[in-house]
Amino acid sequence: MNRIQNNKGLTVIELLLVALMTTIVTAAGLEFFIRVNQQYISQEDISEMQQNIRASVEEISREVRMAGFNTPDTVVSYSLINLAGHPDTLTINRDTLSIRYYIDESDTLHPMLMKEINGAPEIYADDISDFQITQVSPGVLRISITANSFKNDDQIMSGHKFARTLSQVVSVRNAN
Amino acid sequence: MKLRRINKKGMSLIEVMAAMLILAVGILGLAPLMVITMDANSFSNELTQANTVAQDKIEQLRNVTSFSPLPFTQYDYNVLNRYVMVTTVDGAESDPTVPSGVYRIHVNVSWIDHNNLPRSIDYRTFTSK
Repeated sequence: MNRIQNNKGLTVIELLLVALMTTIVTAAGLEFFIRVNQQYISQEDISEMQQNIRASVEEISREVRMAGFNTPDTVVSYSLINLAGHPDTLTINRDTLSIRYYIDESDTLHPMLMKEINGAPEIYADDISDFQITQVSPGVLRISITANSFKNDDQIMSGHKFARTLSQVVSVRNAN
Repeated sequence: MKLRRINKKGMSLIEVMAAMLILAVGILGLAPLMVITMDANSFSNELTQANTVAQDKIEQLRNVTSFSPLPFTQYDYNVLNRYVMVTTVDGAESDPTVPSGVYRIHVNVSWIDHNNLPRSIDYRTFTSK
C-alpha cells in the first residue's frame, strides 16, 4: 500500500519558478551551442581557404618551373595577360600541353581559379578572388594569389569574409 | 507485495542547482577549444607564409653563381612585417663537412606568434658551384 503524506501538489509560485529556471538553463545551453557551432563553421572555412591558397600557389609554381620543357624552339615557354584592376592570366607551355590559369568571375560571390589544359577548362580551386602575376626579371615570375572564405556574411559570427594573400617568386628553369 | 521506500522525497532544489552548476563548469571547460582552433589556424597561416618566404630566398640564391667570401651570411628583418630570416651559405672552404663542388644553403625563418611564442623553421639545401 502506497502512503503519500503530502498530496498538495505544486503551488503556482513553485511552478513559475521551475519554468523560469528551465528557460534560463536552456537559453544558456543553446547560446553556448550556437557560439561553438558558428566558431566551427568559420574556422573550418578559414582552414579550407588556407588549403586552397597553398595548393594553388604550389601548383602554379610547379608548372612555372616546368614551363618550356620539351617544347619546340618556336613555342614560347610562358605568356602573361595583365589587365589593370583585374586578375591576370598565365599560359604555360610544356611537353605537348598548353596550360592556362585564370580566374572565372562569372559567379561574383565565388570566383574560381581555373586550369585549362589544351582548351579543356577545369576548376582548380574555389574562392580565389585574385591572381596577379608579374615578371620580376626575364624568366622570373612573382605569383600572388588571394583567397576568400567561402561562407556568406550572415553565416559567420564576425560578419565579414576573411581573405589571405600568398605570393611566391619562381624562376623558369626548364625553358629551352 | 508491499512496496517499501524509505526515502521518497526526491531531490531538493538546492541539490538540482548544485548539479547544474557542476555541469555548467564542466561544459565551460570546453570553451578554450574554440580558442585553440583559432590559434591552430592562425599558426598554420604563419607557417605557410614562413615557408614561402624561405622558398623564395632559396630560389633567389639558386640563381646566384658564386658566393664569396664564405661563409656568406645575410639577415632580412621584418619580412612581411613578421619574419626574421637568417641565410647562411657554406662551402668546403668554410665548413669541412660540406662536399667540395657544392654550396650548402641554410635558411632559418623565425618569428614571434600571436601568443608571444617563438617559432622557427629551417631549410637546408645544396646547389652546385
